[in-house]
Amino acid sequence: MAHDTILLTNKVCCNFGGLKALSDLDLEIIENSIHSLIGPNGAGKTTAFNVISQNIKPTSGEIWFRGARIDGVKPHQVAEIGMSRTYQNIRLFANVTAIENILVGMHLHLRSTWWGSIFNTPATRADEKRAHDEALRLLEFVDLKGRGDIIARNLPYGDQRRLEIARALAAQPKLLLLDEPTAGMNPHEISDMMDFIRKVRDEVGVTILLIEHQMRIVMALSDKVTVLDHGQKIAEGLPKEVQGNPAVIEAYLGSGKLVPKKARDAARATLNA
Amino acid sequence: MSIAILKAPSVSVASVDVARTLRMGLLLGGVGVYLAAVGILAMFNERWIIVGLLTLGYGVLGLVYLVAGMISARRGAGLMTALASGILSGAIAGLTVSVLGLVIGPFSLQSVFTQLNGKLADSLALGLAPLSGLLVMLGIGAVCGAIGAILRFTPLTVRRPLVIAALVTVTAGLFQELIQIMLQDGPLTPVQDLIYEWEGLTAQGAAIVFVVAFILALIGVQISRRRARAAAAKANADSGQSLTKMGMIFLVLVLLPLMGGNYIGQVLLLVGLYILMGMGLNLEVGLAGLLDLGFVGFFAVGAYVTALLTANHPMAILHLNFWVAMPIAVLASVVVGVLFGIPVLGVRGDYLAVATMGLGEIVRVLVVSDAAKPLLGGPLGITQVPKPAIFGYGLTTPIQLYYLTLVASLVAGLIAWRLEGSRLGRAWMALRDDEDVAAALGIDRIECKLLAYGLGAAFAGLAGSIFAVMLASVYPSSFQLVVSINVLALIIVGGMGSLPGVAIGSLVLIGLPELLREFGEYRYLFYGVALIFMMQFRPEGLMPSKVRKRELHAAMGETSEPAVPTARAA
Repeated sequence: MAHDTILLTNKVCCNFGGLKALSDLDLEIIENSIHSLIGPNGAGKTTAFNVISQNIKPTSGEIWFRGARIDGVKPHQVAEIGMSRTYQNIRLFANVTAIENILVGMHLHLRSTWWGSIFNTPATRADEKRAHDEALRLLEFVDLKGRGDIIARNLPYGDQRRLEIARALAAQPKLLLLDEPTAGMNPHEISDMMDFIRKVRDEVGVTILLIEHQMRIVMALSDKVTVLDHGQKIAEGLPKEVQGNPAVIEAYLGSGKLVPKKARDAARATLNA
Repeated sequence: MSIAILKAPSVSVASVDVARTLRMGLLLGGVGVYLAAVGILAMFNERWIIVGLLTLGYGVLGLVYLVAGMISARRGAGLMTALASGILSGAIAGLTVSVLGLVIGPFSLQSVFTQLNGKLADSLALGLAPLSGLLVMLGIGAVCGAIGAILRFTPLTVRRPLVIAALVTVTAGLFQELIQIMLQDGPLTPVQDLIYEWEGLTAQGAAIVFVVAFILALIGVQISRRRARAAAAKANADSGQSLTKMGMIFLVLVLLPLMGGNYIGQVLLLVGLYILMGMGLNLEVGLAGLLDLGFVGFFAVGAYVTALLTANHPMAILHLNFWVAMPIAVLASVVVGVLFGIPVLGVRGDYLAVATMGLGEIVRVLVVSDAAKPLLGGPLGITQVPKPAIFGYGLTTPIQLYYLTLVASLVAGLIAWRLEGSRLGRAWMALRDDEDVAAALGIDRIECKLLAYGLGAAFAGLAGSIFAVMLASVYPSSFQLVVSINVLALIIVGGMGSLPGVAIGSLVLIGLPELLREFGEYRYLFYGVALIFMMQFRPEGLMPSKVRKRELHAAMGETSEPAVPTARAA
């Protein structure tokens, strides 16, 4: 294993009953890169995320993360080693404030114990103070300065997305999994989010694995792209290489027999945009 | 409004929705018949609210007619129409109840419903001849219905004080014995002479209480409105308010037994024990979201360990001092709590409730079993548990034990409050809200859940320890499933996750029924009705925590902010 590989999956399979959601997935993610996972609906992208973060146990195969084998370990232990994620449908703690969401994210890096909290020891107070300062810093980093006391549910959609990323970053990950961070956004918000993702990579120094639907974003952001279809990897490489790959075009557009040539060309144009 | 009255009474009366009004009248009449048939009415008639004028039974009947008027009067229809429907449906409800009185004798209904006897028939005819009784009842129904209809049209700022004043008057009448004990032999004796006579409120007393309560409530409503407006302008202002609330509840809890004597002390001691248990279960259910119906198991462990370690009984292992035995009992409960948590770690939601219920029952069954008889005394229990003492000063009376419980509750409350805002409290919140996300953020589910069970069990163990001392004995029959249900119910009624809510819930659900012992047979009926009403009209509880309130109102789609896509939409 090369020293700059942060995550490696080796022939990972995941079956749900008879359905093969993932078969023999090999992924290699290079440290400090932005790696995109694309594919049509139902291709197994989110399943891949769930398996990598051990939310779902893989049926077979190996997963290595920062030199440790993580398939079969508990999700919270994966988080301890340095992996965090966001969700396709935002899963914030909707009824508490923005800052409390981030504080939950910092759980791993706080040292206060329950008995320390009961007696409100100086160490606990210092720990909480530090946590609060850090949370405020993170809020500022995701452009939510001054909104820490707003109930998460009442934040605008884009802010909720960024808050979810801030919560993930609060766990100080080395690898951040972002599941469709631009879903449901308008073009303006999307370009803001793209800048933001770059900023996260560059300033926090975290590797990013991204699920994305929109080609424009994938092409602009990714260092490397992996294409999934029916749970299988059908292509991998630089964005440009993947873009022209016939298998990819077929997966996205069908075999072409039922699609008129004009429509296919139009769709290809979108893909290339 | 007066113009509408002058303008066209005939037109508006004609627009009464007769079918609906009849239906409502009959429905509430049916409620009255039910109350009579199950015997509640007869029992309530034994109790005066205002001596010589109004019994609790007639009060309840009046309330039924009033509700009939209230729900059949519709605001959109105009005052006269509403008044007409109110009168009509109230009268019909009255008629329904009177007719029951008339048919009791001729159809010998007593053979079916034992409570439907001649005495009840008499009371339904108001002690008059059958026909005139029916007419008077009809009139009463109509008047109450009219009042109900008018109430519908009074603004909330007046209606709420009216309702509060009525409630206070009824309470003053119902608990006259207690209140008289508190008032007599003190500086307040003149007040007692003014409003009470031997058996209850006098008519003038009732009037005074009502008017005073009304005025105070009127002022209170105004103040709270102004404060609510000020709080709305400034977010997050209610934390101070809940602290004042907490303080006031505490003050009441400290002062009550001083005025009430030993009987009140006894009741309050029980209330205090339930507050303690509520604080513990609140950690599990309110904070960590673990529905636990086996909570009584920890209570039992605390009680038995204390008894085994201190009693002057052949079954006892040691004869320790209470203050040594209590921490051991608490520790034993924690151990049991953690052991108890292990098998149900992977179980969520409804299944968890059932699984924990089973575990709680196992504790009780084990205690009564023949196998444990040589150790725990089986159904005969362990007796002669000595009372504790502080510096040679014995805590023997219920009131003294009550203060012990109060101190313990305070400590428990402080612990719960500190934990809520701590790292562990946040982890619990995360687990309650979304277990998968919590785990993905590095929260160890097993550790957090076991801590919730263990810490929750500690409070129950402490309560059990004091319980053993209170009864001076422990029997397995004290540790029924219903204790767990009571604790859960008091948390729900008080407001999940809220510490003042635990105190209020315990006072309402444990204290009130104890004071109304004579209605004991119907205790669970009232309980059920109260819970249903609670869930319908105030699901967040009497004194909800902020977070819970938000959760519930979000679930019902009442977001304060318009059209913000919620995280859970998908």
